[in-house]
Amino acid sequence: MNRLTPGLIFTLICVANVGNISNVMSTVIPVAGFVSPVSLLIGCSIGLLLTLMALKLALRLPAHNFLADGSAITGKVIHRLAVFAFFIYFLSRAAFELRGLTFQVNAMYLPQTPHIAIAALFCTVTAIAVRYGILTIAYIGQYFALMVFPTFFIIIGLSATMPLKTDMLIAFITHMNAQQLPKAIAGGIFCAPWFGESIFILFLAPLFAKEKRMKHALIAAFAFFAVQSLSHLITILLSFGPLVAGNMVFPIAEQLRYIRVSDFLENLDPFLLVLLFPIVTIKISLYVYLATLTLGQLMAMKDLRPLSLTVTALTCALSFHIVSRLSELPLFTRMFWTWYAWLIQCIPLLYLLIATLRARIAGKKHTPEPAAPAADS
Amino acid sequence: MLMLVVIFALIAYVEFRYLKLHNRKRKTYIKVFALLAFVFMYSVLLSLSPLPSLTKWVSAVLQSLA
Repeated sequence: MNRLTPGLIFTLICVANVGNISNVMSTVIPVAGFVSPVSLLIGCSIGLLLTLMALKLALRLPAHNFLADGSAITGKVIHRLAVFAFFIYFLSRAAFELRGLTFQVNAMYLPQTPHIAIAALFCTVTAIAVRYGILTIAYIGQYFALMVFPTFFIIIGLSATMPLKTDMLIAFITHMNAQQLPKAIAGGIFCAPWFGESIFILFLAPLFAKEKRMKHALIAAFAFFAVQSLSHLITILLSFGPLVAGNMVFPIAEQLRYIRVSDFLENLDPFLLVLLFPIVTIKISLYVYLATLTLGQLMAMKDLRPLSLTVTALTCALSFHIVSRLSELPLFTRMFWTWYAWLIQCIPLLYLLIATLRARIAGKKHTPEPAAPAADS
Repeated sequence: MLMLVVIFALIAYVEFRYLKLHNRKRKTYIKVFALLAFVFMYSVLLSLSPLPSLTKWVSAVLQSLA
């Protein structure tokens, strides 16, 4: 099999979204407070809409190849600028994710180790995965997803042992009214770019098998992720309240530390984080691969292998430039990333709009209209 | 600094071997090594002088606009 089936796309989207819940929390809870579950649902539906539009655009092109055939829609110069914007986007996304992982490992397990050593360790794995291509990344993702996703549902079940507060529950229920709707919509706008990241399927479309069933895979992936994120969000909101939960840097790790089932299962986090780190590494590899793909198109190279090591080194260097202290990590997501990601994720929508308009104008030209010249004169 | 030189020399060696093994054009060599040189310069710049991070820079620009 050298094609991406709907099952593999389902896994890739789940892998790409797995660590996002902590970013969603640090951006949405300060804006929306107790209504953030509603804004998560709004953001999820906006993200699904953007992804479906990207899929529609990809399937509309002749060989499903956006990078090569997209210039037929907007012209060569604008298409090159758009591809460059996508390259910067994927590169900075990978760098940001790598920086978060480095901080987490440094803060929890290797406090004396320099950051560059941890980043180099993860980058070595990433470079090898990127060199072997997207199918390798997808298949590794599938193996780890098989282990990780059941484990996450076990965490949700065990979260009942967390110290949930009744005051928070009362506040949570009383906040669910129509007056809070503007807050929920504002939160949804902040939440949408984290879900809209799945537009990367636009670049993988030439490898698709069974295109007709791809839509079902996308909807299933988003439904799965919405359920998973909602259960994390609600348990964390009920046990810590919006003020503490909004300022957490690693919410899932904090949640794991509060789960105490018995003496035997006193500390679950090493076991679960050992599963979480590979999946975040696969996510970084996916974004680095996409950056390599777009850069290969810009440099007119068909073979991506000679670029993979260099782009990974660039990601590592950029990750140290993008955020220098742990306190800047939430600042980055809140101030800068949301609007930038919105801008980039609307590019497929713009392409689709231009393609539709051009098709309509071309259709009008072909149909014989004898009355039109008379009306003009 | 020494580590940087070692790592980038290793990357250059691996890429050179790969390109030579597959009989690539001269143009491809130039593209790959130009990108590698750019990344090397960027890393050296970062390691020599602690530049202000991009987040700090962007937030300063946004605050001056507001």
